[in-house]
Amino acid sequence: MKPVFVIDINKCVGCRACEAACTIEHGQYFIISRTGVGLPQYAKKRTVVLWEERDEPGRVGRRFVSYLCYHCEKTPCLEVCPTSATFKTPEGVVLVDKYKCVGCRYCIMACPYGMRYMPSRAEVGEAEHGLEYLKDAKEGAKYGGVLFQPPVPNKWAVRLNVVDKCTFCYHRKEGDKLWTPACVEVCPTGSRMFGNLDDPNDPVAELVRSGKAKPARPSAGTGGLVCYVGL
Amino acid sequence: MLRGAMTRGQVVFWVLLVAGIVLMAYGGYYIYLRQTLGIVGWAWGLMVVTYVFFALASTGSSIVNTIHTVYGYDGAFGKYIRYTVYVSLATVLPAFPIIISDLGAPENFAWMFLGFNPTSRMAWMGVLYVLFALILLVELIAEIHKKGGRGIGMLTLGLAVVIISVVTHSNLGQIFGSAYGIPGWFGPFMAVLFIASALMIGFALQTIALMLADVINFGQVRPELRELVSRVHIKGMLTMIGVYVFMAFWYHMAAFYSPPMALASQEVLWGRFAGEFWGIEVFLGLVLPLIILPIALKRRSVGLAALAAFLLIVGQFFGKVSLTASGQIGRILFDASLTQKAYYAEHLIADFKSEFFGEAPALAFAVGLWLVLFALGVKLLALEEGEKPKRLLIFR
Repeated sequence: MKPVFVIDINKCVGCRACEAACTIEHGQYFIISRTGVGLPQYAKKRTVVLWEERDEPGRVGRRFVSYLCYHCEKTPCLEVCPTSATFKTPEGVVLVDKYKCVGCRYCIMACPYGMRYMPSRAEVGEAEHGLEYLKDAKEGAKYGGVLFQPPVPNKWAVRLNVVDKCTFCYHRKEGDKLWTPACVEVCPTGSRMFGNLDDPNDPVAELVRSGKAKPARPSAGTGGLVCYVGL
Repeated sequence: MLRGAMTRGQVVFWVLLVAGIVLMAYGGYYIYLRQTLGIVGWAWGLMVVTYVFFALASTGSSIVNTIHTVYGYDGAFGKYIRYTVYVSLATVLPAFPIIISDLGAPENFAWMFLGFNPTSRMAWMGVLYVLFALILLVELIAEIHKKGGRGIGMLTLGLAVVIISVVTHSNLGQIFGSAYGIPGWFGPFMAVLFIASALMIGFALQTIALMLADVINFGQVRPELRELVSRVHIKGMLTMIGVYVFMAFWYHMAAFYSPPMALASQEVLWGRFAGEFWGIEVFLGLVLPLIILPIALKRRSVGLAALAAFLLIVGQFFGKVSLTASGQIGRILFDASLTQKAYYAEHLIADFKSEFFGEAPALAFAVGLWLVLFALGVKLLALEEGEKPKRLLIFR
């Protein structure tokens, strides 16, 4: 199985449900008021949706572009990792073993796309500051608010002081079946899609095979498992 | 009254020791807070610059020593070789606590060796740096116990030191050179630029250290040191300034053939670090030494040479600051241009700079540790020519 992640820019409405699902899935607190301040490296999140304004003749408007780790085929972050904490699964998903990572941030320097980051203490569930947010959320729930509860902690959840990145929700994988990442599950417009390149009948994989979905920056020469439609 | 009770050497010794302890306490407290509060950001800041600087100074000083240990030039070098080897060793040591405390999770450090990744320059750095420090210790012991002239054994050891020094510092350059995400660093330039810088810092560091050692132990600069500094160190610094300027010029020229790399270069030449670059690195660190050093040579003045050496060291340190910071700022600007978030770039750069320069106390710790190691070593180790150690192979 070779997973592939396709993002259709034309379908994204910028609701950021994907960001919320991702942060909750991995033990961070989603703060809606914190708008995107750039790529995951600066926003300190696994995935971000950035608003991009267009002001070109005949193409004035706004669009929303999602960013997450591209799980490169030629992997600069894996090459530089001194402790082998960064590794690739047989499916090609690039992961970080949180118990081997020393937090040297060399992979952040090596990633040409800015998709790795150091988690912020204020947004990680295990941190003291986070408990304050949780208290507020619990109070809000009494008055009809929705309280997102972090799921059972998984091996790839966010940990303080070590580098973090998108895992394609690898902890959801069961056996040889294709799984669904949390952000794909909650996307209301189907802008985020997940498929299997090895499956000839997979409609998501077909977008890649037909050339409709393309890699973000082919000039960087790393390849990867994430493609965009309409970028 | 205190001044009257102590010799000049004792005053210098105590000033260095107390200043070192105070700086270590200040920097140590910051390191403690950094680790316990978990305030490690994404950037490579002043702690990485400090590590790089001490590594360059140490490898540079070791390569300078080969003038005597490998090429056999004696002059007055033979009289001071134990001191200069010790200076290299004392300079390599502060880099260890700094780089380990820069890590977000130093408790996982054992994986640097257990999970050794041969494609990672940083993994190799861990091995080479330990090896380099050990070989320097062996060299110091051998120099102290050497009988008669420099035989084949000492020559072999000298060669081993020069090989490990060059490999270590080239590998250090390529830690930056293999960072694919930072166009301002990526490529073969860094190792080349670093070797010129390392030699320059090596000559400068030895000039200051030898002067202080003479004053601590003898209350004055001895004629042999005037001879050594005039013949070797002043000329070495002058030569390496020329080489460094040549290499730095072509580094910046090369940047203009690659737009992402040019973003970093512009930051140094006329951007946010232009003040540090032209004012500190170029004027204080290169132009003033170029004026002072010929005067020092003519007058055979170790004091003037040490002043020029100090300026040169300050200039080179700021050079590493601007090189490290501008590469990362160039990356922020490049990312912002891709994501059409240029208006956020200034905000991100302000965050980056506060993170980068917020690590300044760690520099104080490293300098303090160096001062303590140097002052104690000069006082306690058998570093004088012909002196026999009485305790633990190297102690007086």
